[in-house]
Amino acid sequence: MSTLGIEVEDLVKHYGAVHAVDGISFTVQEGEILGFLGHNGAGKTTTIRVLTGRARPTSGHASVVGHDVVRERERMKPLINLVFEDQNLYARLTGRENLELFAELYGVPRSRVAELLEAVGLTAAAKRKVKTYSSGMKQRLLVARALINRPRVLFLDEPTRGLDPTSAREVRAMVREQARQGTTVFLTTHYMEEADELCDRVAFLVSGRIVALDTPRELKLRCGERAVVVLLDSRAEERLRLDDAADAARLEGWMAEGSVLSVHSQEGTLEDVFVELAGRPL
Amino acid sequence: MSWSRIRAIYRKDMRDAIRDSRVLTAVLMPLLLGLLYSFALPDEEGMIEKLKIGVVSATATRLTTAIEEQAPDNVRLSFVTVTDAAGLERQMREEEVDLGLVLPKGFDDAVKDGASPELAVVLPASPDFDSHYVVAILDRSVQELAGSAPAARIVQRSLPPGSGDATALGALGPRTTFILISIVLLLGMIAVYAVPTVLIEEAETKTMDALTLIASTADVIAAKALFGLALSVISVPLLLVVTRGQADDVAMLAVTVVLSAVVLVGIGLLSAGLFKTQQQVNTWSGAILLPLLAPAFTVGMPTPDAVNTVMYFLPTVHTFRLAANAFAGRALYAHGVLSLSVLLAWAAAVYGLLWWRLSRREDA
Repeated sequence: MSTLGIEVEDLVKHYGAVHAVDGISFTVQEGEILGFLGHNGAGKTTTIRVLTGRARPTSGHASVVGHDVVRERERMKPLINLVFEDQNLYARLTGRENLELFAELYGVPRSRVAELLEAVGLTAAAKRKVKTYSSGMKQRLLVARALINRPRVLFLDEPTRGLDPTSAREVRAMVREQARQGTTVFLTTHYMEEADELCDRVAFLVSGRIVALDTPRELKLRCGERAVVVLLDSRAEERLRLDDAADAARLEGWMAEGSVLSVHSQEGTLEDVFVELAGRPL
Repeated sequence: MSWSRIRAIYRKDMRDAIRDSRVLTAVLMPLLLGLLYSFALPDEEGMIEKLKIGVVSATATRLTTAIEEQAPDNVRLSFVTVTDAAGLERQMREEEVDLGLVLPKGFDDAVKDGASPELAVVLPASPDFDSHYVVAILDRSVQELAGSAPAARIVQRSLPPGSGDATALGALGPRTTFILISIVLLLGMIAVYAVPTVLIEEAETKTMDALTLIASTADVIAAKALFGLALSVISVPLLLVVTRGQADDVAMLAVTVVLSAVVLVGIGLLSAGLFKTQQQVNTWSGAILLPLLAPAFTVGMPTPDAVNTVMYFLPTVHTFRLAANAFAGRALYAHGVLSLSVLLAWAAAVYGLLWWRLSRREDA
């Protein structure tokens, strides 16, 4: 039986009249990557704030690595970490000094700093002040900082926002590697492709409520069409239904002739599913 | 609270501060002001008037001794013997002497005999106050020489310590007084500008969120308090070195600086709660700094009783009083224990309030 990294039950967080999180429930298994998708103000960051012990829930229950986020907050803190949405680094300190501070705060040996700088490719820039770093370098340093204590649960709040494609790919690779090593990952993102590529399961959050929670594949199947579009060497495009025996025979014939150039499935995208459920795109 | 986390954040703050021009400015400005005024203003020694008197007398005279006895403490007289009246005038024109006395031969005996000998006083073209003062005490000096009893017995009495705000200026001189003012300014700038600046920056850049992911808010606040205290404890001796300030009672000065820094840093941390941005700190910290500095700057100035009463409750008044006592090595200002008690009461109130605010924040 797998262990639960995160367990949330009927969680509510109100800020005055604003219902930031309105009764959500979900679990995340150890080593699983769960993506939280939603518009700005949907409650993604508030959920992270509650789960990381930085905001008290109005009602409901949440535990991370088996620790209640309110009652056992201090025991939970050393077991989790977070890549913040903002690049909240000490700009006048060097990359190494930034990591050394958090190594000391988490009580981990300094050798971990060099190890992480190497892992995120910042060894050469370790002695440079962070204010001279590019956005991609800062983001990699943020990821390194979040891994300093080898967290059992890693939260990532929009980790690739504003990054160039290469830097975003590097960050995604690091996240994937962490999950492979058994870290539970809770990710919020605006990027559907990122969620599709990285996440084992995806939750759609609309106005503080989860409107869908499943694997990307299952979600996409909800609104996709069971059909393929075949491109022939004559440059003609033919649409074939997958549940039609006649269409299956036509495809078989073209393949036997060797006239098929490509076949494209017509399943929906996560974006299509989200629009269908939320009423507007991200 | 965790001491290891407080220490880690404090060390980071110190490392960051030496690269932060705003913090450096808060420390350097009072240091440079202190340095500037320590050279520009005279010290207590510089306030003593020195008068050189040329004496033409063919016979030995006790008049110079009698004049010295009559002179007040802040006037130091020196006498040079000049051969004749012409030589005296030459020396006065060349400003080698400030004032001249020409005594006839056998002056002392003639005075004792009641013969009323002529005593000529030669004044410069533009005599200053001290020259006139010496002329004024001449009559009394000659009477003493004649052995006649004074018309009235004049008894001098000094006001008790602490009964006048001009005490420090009068007793320590403008240079030392300005060093005291610079100390108060330095402590104030660190506490009310530098400390809120580093705290607000943590909030503005959201590094505070990263810190509180593992540390508590109380850890962060305690580290900032330690940072302000350390900066004060390092900067004040530096100020004393550059201004050549020397306290007679170093231990008393150390206690005063540490206790005042604790109180002022607490006020700075509380004031940081009023601000959200660095711009607000820049704009409004002066409003908090001004009443804290005012007592030091108004020393020696005539202020209404109501103002004095209000100022007596400000911690910096007691910082100044205790520091002045430490510099003088005696109780220029009375009730030193009361001043220490007032500072301790401020510390208890400020940190009690901080603790209460932090508790509310942790519960939110």
